[in-house]
Amino acid sequence: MKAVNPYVAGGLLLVAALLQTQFLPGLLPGVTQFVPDLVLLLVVAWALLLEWRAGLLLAFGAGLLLDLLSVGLQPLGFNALMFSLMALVISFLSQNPANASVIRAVPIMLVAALFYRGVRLLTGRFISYNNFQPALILQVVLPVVVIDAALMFLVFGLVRVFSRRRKSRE
Amino acid sequence: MLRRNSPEITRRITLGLVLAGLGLALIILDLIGILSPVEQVTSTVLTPLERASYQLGLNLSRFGDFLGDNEKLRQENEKLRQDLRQALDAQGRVAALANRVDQLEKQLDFRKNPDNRKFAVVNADVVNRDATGENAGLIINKGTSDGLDRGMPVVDASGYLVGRIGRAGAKDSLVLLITDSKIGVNVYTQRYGPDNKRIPIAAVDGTSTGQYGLKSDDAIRIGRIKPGSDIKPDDWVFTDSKGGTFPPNVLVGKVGRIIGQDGQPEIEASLNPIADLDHLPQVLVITSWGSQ
Repeated sequence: MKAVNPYVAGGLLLVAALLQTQFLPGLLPGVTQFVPDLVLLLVVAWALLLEWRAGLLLAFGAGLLLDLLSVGLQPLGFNALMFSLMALVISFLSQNPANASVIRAVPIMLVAALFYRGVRLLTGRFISYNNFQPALILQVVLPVVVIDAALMFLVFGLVRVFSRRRKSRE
Repeated sequence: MLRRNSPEITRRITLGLVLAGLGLALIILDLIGILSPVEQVTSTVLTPLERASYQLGLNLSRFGDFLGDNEKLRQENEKLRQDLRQALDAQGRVAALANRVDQLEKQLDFRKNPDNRKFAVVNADVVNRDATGENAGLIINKGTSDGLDRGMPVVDASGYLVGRIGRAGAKDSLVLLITDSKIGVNVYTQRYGPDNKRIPIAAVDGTSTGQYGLKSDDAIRIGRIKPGSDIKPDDWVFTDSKGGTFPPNVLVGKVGRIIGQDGQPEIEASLNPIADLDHLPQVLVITSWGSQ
């Protein structure tokens, strides 16, 4: 089983959340709709690589941090709920984290990002905003989902490096 | 194998559901409004980090533009020279137009000072843009602790309609712009002649809806216009008091083009917003107005 130093995990989470919610929208003012779901990427990678307890707790913490850092239509706790449920399901898909591979992680990320974005839009509709526009799905959701899946190659490697380092120190 | 693992699976599901339940509890508490003090404390801690990250990104973006734009600047310089010549030619017309706008504002009682409008307003800085791409939105640095609430109208410094609060956090809020497809505004039109006098036409009523995410070339469209209504390009568009969601007589924009006039059951028109929605450093949130 792999483990991750909680300070390293916290640092990674904070950096990813700030990048996603603040830095990238400032850096790419014209294309903010294509900012990837970096925190979700970390959650999925951890759920695949780490022992299930750590994966679930990190997922909840990541969701809470994202809830606090981002201002959206969704209420506080939305990301914490979503990420916890997604980490739970993914932990069953990766019964043996030692065998987790990036080839497996990419399609899982694709489905996870699609599910996450879909539920976000449905939630918007639920709280009386009709977000579920076909053009929005084609122009925003699908490109971001593809970007998320492509970035999984990078993030999965990064997370694996950090979890390995922790292991070797032990 | 399954039997051996079943206690672990049970523990896993239990922990997952407990965490999900906590998330759900947070959602409910947030919707009720109990979490505002907690949000206030956390945002006090996180806001400097957020602002610093956003400014870093913004400055890097500007620096990148500066480095990569030498050739582009030369071309732009040439284009600007041509534009300047054209602008000088059009100067007379521009001056006349500016004068006309001034007159119109006076005649229509466009008081730029919101106090004169008897609006209660809260000034806010625009600190970010919506990063999800799901909304045409802005993030402002005021929230429920400043008296803001969901649904409140937002105008720019000149009093032109910008949008409304989509969600108010403790110390920051999401403003949904009038170009967002979730924002509908009841509007009416007015027409003014070359002598700046109001042309007496029957005001045309309609509902303007943002076109963001709707695969449309227009930023905003006015729908539900009755066939045969007297509506033309360049008619001025103001908010209507119907529904009570926006204060009446706030300038929204000008009619662009008329769409689907032939044989359609309803006329549509494109609407060009007056407020510069892409470059808003500050906005005013109207917390109450005369009729409320």
